[in-house]
Amino acid sequence: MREKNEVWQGTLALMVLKTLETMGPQHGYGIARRIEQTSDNLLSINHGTLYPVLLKLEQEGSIRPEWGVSDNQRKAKFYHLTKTGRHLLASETRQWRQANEIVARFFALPGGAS
Amino acid sequence: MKTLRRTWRRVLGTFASARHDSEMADEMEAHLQMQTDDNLKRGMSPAQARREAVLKFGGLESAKESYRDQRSLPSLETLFQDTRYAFRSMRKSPGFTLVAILSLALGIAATTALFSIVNRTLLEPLPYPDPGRLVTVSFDGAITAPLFENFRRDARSLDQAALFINVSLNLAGNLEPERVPAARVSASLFGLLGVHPQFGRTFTAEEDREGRDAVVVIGDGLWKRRFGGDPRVLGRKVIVNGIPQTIIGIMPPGFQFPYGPELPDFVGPFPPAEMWRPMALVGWERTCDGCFNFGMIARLRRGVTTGQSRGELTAILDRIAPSLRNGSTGPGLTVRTLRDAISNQVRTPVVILFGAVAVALLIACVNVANLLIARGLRRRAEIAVRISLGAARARIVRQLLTESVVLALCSAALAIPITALGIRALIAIAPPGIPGIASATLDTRVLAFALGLALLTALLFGMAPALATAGRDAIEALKFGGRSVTGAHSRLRPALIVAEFALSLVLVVASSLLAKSFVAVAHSPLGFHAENVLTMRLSLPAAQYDDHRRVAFIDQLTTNCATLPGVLSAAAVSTLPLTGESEGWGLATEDRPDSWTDLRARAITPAYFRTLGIRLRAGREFTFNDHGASQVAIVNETAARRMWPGIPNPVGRKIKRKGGTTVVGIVDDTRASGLDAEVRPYLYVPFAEFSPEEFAVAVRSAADPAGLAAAVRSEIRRLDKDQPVTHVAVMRQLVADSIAARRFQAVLMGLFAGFALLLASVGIYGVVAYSVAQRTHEIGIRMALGASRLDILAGVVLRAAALALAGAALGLAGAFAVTPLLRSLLYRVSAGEPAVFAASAMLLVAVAVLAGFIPALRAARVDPMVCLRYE
Repeated sequence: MREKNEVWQGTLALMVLKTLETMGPQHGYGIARRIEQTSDNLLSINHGTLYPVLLKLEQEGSIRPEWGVSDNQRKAKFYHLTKTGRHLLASETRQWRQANEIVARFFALPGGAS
Repeated sequence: MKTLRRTWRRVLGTFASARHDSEMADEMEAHLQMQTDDNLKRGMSPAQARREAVLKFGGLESAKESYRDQRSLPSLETLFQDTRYAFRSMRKSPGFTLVAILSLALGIAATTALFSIVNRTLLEPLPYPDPGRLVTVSFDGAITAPLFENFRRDARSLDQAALFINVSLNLAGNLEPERVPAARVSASLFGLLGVHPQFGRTFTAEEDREGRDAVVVIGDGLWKRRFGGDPRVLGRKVIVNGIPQTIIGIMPPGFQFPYGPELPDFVGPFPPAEMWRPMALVGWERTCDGCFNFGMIARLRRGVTTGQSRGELTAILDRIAPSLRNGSTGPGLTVRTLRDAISNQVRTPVVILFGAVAVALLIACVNVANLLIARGLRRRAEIAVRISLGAARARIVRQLLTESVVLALCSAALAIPITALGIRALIAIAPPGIPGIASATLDTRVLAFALGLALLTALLFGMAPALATAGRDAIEALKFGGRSVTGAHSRLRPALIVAEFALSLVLVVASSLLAKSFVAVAHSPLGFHAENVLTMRLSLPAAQYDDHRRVAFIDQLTTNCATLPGVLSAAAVSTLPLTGESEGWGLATEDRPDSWTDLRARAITPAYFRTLGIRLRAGREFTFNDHGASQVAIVNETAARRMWPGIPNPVGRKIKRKGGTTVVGIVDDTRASGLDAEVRPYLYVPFAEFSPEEFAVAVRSAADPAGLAAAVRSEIRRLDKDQPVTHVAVMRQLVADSIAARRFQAVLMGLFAGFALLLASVGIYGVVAYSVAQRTHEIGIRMALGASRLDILAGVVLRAAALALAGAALGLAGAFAVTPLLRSLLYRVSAGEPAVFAASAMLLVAVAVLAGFIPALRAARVDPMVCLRYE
């Protein structure tokens, strides 16, 4: 149970970082929306689960929060990607790709992709 | 790194929770608002838009909860909570808290303070390389030069050997004359010990010969004090006992030899030597077979045991002096490691004291355990309520645990300053002669041990009720309001009380035995009258005073002092009673020429016995006429009995000495090295026979003699202004000093016993009071059924007495097992003295009855109506 959560959190963290890299500073709601859109609504997350992830990233120093005003004039906390965050994203991306590739090779074996 | 940073932020987050909480709420609210806005744009009704947003968010409160857990360290937060709660509950029951903390703190402090001192004085290794091979060799406590020479030359078990003797030297030369404690040592001593001077050098073998020995090595303390720590002092000439000598070396700080107890006939206090001279034996010393004046130290050959070495030395002894062993009045030939020699002196009293302290600490722990259990029981109801409200069992155990730890830590915080004070107090009141005691400091390892023990006690006994209460019978406890509790813990507490009383009894018995011994020693016959006698010490170095001039000086001085106003008589003596044994002479009588006795010799002036108030049993005192050619001596009773067994009055008999010495008188025994010491055979001779450089002057006055000191000093100054006067004291004080060590032991043991008894009575009070509170209802019913108040009172008091009796029975058995260890400290008291045991047991029961009386009164005051209505 706990482990599954951590895996999920790790993946979610990567998505958050990538979102912030492509979109620039964004508030929690914006990040959640973007993740849903990117996944073509295949991935439906409880928005509440996002906040512990954001907090963890903030505590690690990967993102930095700042209060600002949203498009529809609401006061919101915007998250910026920090230098540490970029490094983290780069290395995580690399690892993710590698893992992907390995798994893909297994599926490419004869009889693997059935 | 990442994890570290995050943990740190979480620790920080634990502290600033309120502000973060509101910020989190704001952020999540903004999220919901934006979602709601979007939903509205999609055409939902405001209510539906909000509801959808909340649904999408997926449980606001659970999100907040998991956010909070992320933000801080929940365990840390709980810890803070528990700690706050612990302090609050401690404030709520100040009586319990005070007793628990004080008893633990005192227990920890006493153990740590005493152990710190024991460690410094007994357990720390000697500051020499390979100290296990260093041994002292002696025959009946000392050695002669010829024996030493034979041992050194022939013993294959010894690597190196050195001779030494403690002396006092007059130091002068461009400075105030000063009496310096010093030692004459063989040139080989320093190499044997493995120590090197910090400046200069030590003696060469060439300098260890008569006439070549005008050199001196000084200690660091003397060097800094007298010479300002100037290394150029090397090569400078100083006047030692009237002879110019060259300073050739300065020993490093901390070098102490002789230490004291390795000296022959050490009785302490002995000031550490600050100056060393070559042994350079003079002619008569080299050949004197009866001069047991020296100490011998040796380094064993690698792999040789003291037993093997002793065997070899005994064989040598039998070859060169076969008669010596038969004349032994003491332990005979001994080979002891230096460590044993040093620590034996103080080991027994300190070890026993340490045992007492350990028992006191144990009692303190038992007491706290008891208190904790009692409190745990009182809180059963509270805990039951919390469990039924859904508190996790682990959470409650943890909270109680925290309380125990807080309790132990508070005790520790209190214990540290008490320990520091205690060490200082112990050093201040310790009797003189414990080596190295002044440098004792708080031993952190012991402190850690004592703290650990306290913590363990608190944890163990704080948790036991928690585990029991937090168990499945919570509902039961709740039902009865925690009132009618029976089970394991109500049996455990009386058992602890019994143990406490048993331990206390052991301490009370031990301290009573010591106190009784102290009284016996303090009242043992002195053999002289200590009132109104003033004494001081003086020395006339051989370089300025030959024997003849010294005797003239002494005669003149005592004659002059006797004429001072208020003075009844004045005398001089080589060593006063109770200040240490004198030089030993092996002598035989003409009646039994082959039976040697180790006689101690005191030189005296004619008025000595009158001045000290020593009774003459037979014969006559010396007169000034005896200061001539005629060979006369006076012996003490012990010598008379031992040298002329079966002859009631040996006056007129002769001692075998050059020309024969006639015994002219017999006097009462006086003790040389302490009131509880064995009396040795003593021989008194006129100063003309034997006049040591250092001697004491004694003056008896009609009234308090303290005011005479100045007058006596000025008489001395009139005869020679350059000779330092030391050790000015009234004889009463010397007597008090000689029993100071015993008083110290008795007082300390008494303190611990009192402490233990106090704790035990607090414990029994607690148990009885608790059981009264538990049984209020039952008592009410019994009274309603016709029991009188007296019945109730007696019932409760008897319960306390029964507990104490059980403890006493157990304690008596324990005391019987333990007190034989005290035997060497006891004086005219047997280790199993029935009176002491009985009285101690009675005291214990009395204390228990007293402690039980208060709750008993409360029980007797129970109003049956109120009590039953309460139901």
